[in-house]
Amino acid sequence: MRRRKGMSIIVRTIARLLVPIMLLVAAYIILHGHVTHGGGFQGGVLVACAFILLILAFGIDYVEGKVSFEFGQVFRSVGATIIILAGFIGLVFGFWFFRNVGVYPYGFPGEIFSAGSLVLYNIAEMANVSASFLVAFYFLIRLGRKRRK
Amino acid sequence: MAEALGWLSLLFNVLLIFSVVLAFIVVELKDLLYASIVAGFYGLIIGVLYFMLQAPDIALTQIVVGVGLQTALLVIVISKTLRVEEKVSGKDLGLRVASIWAVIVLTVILVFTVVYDFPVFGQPVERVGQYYVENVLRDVGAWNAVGAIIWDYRGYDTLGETLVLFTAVIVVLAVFKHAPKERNEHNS
Repeated sequence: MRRRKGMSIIVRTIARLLVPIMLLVAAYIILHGHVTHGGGFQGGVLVACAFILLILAFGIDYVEGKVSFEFGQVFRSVGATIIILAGFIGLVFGFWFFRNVGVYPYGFPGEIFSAGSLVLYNIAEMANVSASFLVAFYFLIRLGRKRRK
Repeated sequence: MAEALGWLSLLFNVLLIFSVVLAFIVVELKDLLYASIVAGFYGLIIGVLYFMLQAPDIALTQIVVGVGLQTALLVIVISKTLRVEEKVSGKDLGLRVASIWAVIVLTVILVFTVVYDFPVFGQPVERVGQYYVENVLRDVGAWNAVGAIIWDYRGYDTLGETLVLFTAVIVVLAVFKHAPKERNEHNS
């Protein structure tokens, strides 16, 4: 089957060139989520799209050998847990739940270390979203195929 | 300046008509693989329209989800099922067409009864957005006002959305747990 082994050498070369750029753009969108447009969700979906391109080009066995199903499950659970625990930081500092207190000082607006815990939320959201979609795609691709007439 | 705005609005209208044409092509194409690719292109044009309406956050989300994720999901589903639409038998065809027309007429009537109550374009009824724009630097300290609204002013909403996504994947894995796995094919 062609899908197991991946696609032609043209697609593989293009994917090899494109995937680092996609991951770089995703990292920019996530880490500058509080300064410029975008945020954790958009960057996370972009990371998942980069992995889908890898699956398309190199086959699912190759990609799942690098990033396993179980690692995706753990990664997304860690992301969701960090979001909830970061919500409790506000409670610890004497405010209400999910208050934007920040694990470091507020900083000057526009700097990369500013805006309280928004950076933490964005990174954790990236972990949750990207690994969730990746796990769903692994599962859907592995599902049985309907018999053709 | 007015001339530039005129050209922009002309481009906006052309893209709007082009997106409608693409939507018709998506519906009419019998090969579902081609239809999903055209649907991705349609999503790209909708993203450009959002960007021209000065909503770059929504444009980014639309392009990433509508072009990347949706196309990949549809292609996977098509590879698991049928690629070409099945023909409808003549007995059911009249009933289907009649029901579709009924839904269309009902939708148009409902939309036209509601659309007169809409606020004027660019003048929202809710004034809370003005507060966000004016006080976001003092309250949150983030330049990205949309990100500040998502994670600070409306943090509970985003918490819920995140957990909905988290739970949805769990439910998918639980429901399809006993579905047959793909057979190992050694040939080719």
